[in-house]
Amino acid sequence: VELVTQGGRRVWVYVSRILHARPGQPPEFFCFDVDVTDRKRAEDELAVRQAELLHAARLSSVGQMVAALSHEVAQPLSAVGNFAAAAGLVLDGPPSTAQWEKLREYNQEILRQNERCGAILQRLRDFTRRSAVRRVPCDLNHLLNESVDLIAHELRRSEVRISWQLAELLPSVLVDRIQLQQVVVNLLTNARDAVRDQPPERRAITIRSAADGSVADGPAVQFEVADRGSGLPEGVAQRLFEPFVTTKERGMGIGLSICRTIIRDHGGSIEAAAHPEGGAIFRVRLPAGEERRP
Amino acid sequence: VTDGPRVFVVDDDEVVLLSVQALLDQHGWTVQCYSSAARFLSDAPITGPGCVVTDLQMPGMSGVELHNRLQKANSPLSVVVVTGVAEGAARQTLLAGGAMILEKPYTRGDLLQAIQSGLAASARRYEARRD
Repeated sequence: VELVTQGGRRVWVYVSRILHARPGQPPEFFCFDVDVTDRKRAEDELAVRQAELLHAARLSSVGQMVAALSHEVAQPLSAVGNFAAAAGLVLDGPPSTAQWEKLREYNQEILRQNERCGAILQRLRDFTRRSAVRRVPCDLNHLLNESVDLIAHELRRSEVRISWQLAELLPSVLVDRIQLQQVVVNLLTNARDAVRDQPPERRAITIRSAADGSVADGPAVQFEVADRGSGLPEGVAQRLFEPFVTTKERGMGIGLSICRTIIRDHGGSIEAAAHPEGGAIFRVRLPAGEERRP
Repeated sequence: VTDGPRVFVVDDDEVVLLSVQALLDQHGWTVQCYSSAARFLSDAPITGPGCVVTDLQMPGMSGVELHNRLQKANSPLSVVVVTGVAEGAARQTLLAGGAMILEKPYTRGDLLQAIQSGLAASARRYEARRD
């Protein structure tokens, strides 16, 4: 409990009361109050540092996304310009019903592209915001879709296809949406890097989701990101989630260790396995959110 | 469909296609759009006069390869290649083959001017071959 001292100082106190009753004797009452302010402060401090680290990692992955994102925004912007210029020509010309219809069509497109730009920027803002961890029930499939949207353009430019195998009617997961997106984006970026030099038929990433009833401590859901890339070198698979272990030429070896931190924080687990047909599979398990009441 | 000069727009981005079509339409050109280079080569009348506007980077066949195929087929079509980055080798190939390169960001004026001169050059080539 948090108490306030006479001097106005706030302290965290671990409170314990024991009633010891023996037959024929008056009961004894023991009180233990331990000042745990320092420990509590250290824990809070650690939580803040960890949140900052995750935020920094998100910012660094955004740095890599910026080139692709600026292209993604430039495209609808230039389209807006073209439609507006076309509309200007209609307005300068002789009026006719057919031209009026065109004008309506151009205007609709301008609005649509405007919304597209807005949505791209909103996604980026959400992803980079430094916000308190907020766990809410999320639909895993929806979350996977949102994460792919974040780097869809990069995947398209690298000519990497996504193939979906999503289970329907999954129980929801109680997660911080942004942190989970961070994990999925990280796994997808790794998979993209693994397949980008492969022949076209292997430049594919499979995303699977499924319910997982086999976990001892309650129902769970899982998702997989599977690639057909060059696979995991012998001996690396076990150490892959440790910080500063990397298989990339210019990698820092931070991404997967951050993924593990986030997933463990959510009470889940993450593991890597070799793809039976060559490549790697990353599997994440998360406890299902408690939605149904007994 | 008349035999007059046409502008062909090849881009994998649907929005680019629609917006360029709207712009060129209002400038009075006959415009045809294709979502890939392969589709353009199989469906478009490449033996007639006209101007092709294409992106350099596209999934499947790139703008450079499209240009090479047109040259091999001895097509009179002019090619305007739009690109975000002027890559060395691709640039040399395109310029050597007589294609025009438009680097992003370009203005609508640049695009219209490139098409205008592309159409004129294509018409000259087409006439020369018919004589």
